[in-house]
Amino acid sequence: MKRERIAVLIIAAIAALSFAAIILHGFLLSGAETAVIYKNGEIVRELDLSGITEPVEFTIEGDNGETNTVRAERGRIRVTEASCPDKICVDRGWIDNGVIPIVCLPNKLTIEIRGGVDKADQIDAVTGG
Amino acid sequence: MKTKKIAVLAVFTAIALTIFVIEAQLPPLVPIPGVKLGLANVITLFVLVTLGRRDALIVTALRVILGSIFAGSVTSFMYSAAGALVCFICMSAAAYILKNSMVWFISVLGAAGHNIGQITVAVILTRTVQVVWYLPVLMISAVITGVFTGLVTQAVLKRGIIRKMIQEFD
Repeated sequence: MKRERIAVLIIAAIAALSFAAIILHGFLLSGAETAVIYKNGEIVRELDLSGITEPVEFTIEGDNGETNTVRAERGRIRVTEASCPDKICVDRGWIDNGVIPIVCLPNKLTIEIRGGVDKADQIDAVTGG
Repeated sequence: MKTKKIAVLAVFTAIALTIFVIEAQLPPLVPIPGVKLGLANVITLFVLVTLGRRDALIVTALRVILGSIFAGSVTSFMYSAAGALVCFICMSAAAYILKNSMVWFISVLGAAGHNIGQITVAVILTRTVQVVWYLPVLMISAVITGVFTGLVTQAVLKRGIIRKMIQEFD
């Protein structure tokens, strides 16, 4: 009887630690999502996406008069307007994770999200038995 | 090794392999990659308790190698082998300490060890330490599936018919 109680306690401890780790991880992730905007390969602006309460919009201008208007909301970011001919960056829409960045090749602008990359849905289902 | 022993171990390997391959074909119970029942471990545990460590290792190693040939890839073999190895070490140590009692608990420790082995391989293969954060999710699943497969093993052990069959072989 006594040994079984110890076993149950060990299992409860494993479960409690796991839950604590999951909650801690979620907490760490929510504070770690940062959008980084590059222009000509250099960082021009960093935004803490999880800290945004009101949507923000601003324009990144280049030396040759080219512009990209960026809109950021809580947890996501997008390009709303651009002077480039193809508008691929605008068509890309919202991004909310670090998998695929927004790239505007004509204006040499890149927006990527750091942190929060290892969400469970981004882990390949390659594990086998 | 006696011929009868070889035959018994071959039968157990075949049963484990059948369970493994069929389980691989089933749709996942929950939409979380890596979470599964691991019913093939019932055989490993059964052999461990009835025949001993050495035979359990043989059956498990054969099941992992053949299972990857029938229903896996090189990557899944690495995950499978690492998981099975750590699982076996945990279970044989637990079975030794507990003197083969509390099979359900041995099963939980095995399932937990299995996940630790798999995550270790995942960290090495993907070269991202962040994968470790996935371990708690798998640990909770290990507790649930471990108790389940452990209870299944206890039910099989209680039946005694297979045990009788083995004794007749001896």
